[in-house]
Amino acid sequence: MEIVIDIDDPVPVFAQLIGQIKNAVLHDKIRPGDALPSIRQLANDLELNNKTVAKAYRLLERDSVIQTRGYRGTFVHPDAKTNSTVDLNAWVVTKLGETIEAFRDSGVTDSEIRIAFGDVMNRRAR
Amino acid sequence: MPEHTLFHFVFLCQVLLVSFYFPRKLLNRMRYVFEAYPPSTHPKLYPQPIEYYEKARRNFSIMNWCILAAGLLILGVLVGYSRSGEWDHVIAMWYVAVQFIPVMLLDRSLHNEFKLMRLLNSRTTRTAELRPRRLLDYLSPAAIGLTAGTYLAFVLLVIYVRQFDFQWFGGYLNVAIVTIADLLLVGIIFRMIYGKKPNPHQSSADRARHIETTARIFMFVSIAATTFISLSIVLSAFDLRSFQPAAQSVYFQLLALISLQGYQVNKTNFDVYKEDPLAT
Repeated sequence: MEIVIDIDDPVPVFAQLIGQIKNAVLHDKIRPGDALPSIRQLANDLELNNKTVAKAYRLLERDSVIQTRGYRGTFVHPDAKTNSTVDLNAWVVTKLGETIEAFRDSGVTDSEIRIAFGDVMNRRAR
Repeated sequence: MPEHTLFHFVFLCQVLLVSFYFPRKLLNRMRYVFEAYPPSTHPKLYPQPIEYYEKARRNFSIMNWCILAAGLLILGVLVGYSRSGEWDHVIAMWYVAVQFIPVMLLDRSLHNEFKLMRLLNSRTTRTAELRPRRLLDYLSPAAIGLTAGTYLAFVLLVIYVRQFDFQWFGGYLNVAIVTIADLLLVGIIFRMIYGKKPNPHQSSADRARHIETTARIFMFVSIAATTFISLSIVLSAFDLRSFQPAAQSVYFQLLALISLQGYQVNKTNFDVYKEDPLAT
């Protein structure tokens, strides 16, 4: 199974990696328990920075599509196929959309919404 | 003395094998590639003008002819004038170093070609296999075990022979040299497996085949080197050093034959060097 990355594509490279690995899982090109290349190997093969591949792997692990087992390496998660259909970003956009609509219905202006959003994000960051 | 006659015969084989047969094979393979995959159909294979490669091919041929002539001259001098044979093994060792110079220059120029290919590579897409590469993908556990076993047997031999301490025996220095050499070979293999791809156009299948071939060659080289040094120690211990030059020459010829396997082109995928149909 080969993955192809286009560095000129407007989609960020780490997002392309995530998309292709999830696609491979959904089409049974890789199965639960299959070993994946190490971050260094994949970064070397695609001539990318290690951090780019590490970010993709981190997000895939967050979404339970892959799992890291220490020195043994990285493997496809047992529930990868189900979890690959979950699009967290799409869920965020949907939820935010519903919340913002609710605020607007209550008369809150867009400017007030942006300021409040920024305050909440900054508070969580601290 | 029969040992010197034996050495002269073996040395002649060395001269012909390493400076005639081996270069002929390589030159034929180069000609095959130039004819079957010319710049007009496979431009990415030639980052420089074709005249550059034809000149390099001619220079490689001339170098080997000169070294062959020198080898035959040395052999003539040895047969005509050398009676004691005390310099035989020195001559064999230094001459083989000269014999391998053209191939080392060829490897160096190949490395530079890959560098040029990387600079000229305008493709924005990159591919990678979604499976880990491991040493056991290229060498069987039995092969690794055999190499390790040969090394262990050599160390045990040195430990055993050391108690007798005789002239020309380097003791644990032999172990240190072999260990460093083996570690170097292992380092190169690991770099090939986990490092960046030198040839930007090489397909995954070709890369895997190249790593496997190189790993096997290195395995044989390691076993051959360890076996040869063990044999040298045994010959020295039994005061049979007069056979050492012939043994050394045979060893170098074996290395040359093993190395030739690394220059196969018949299974290489040359389609990757064709012009991209969508290239602007």
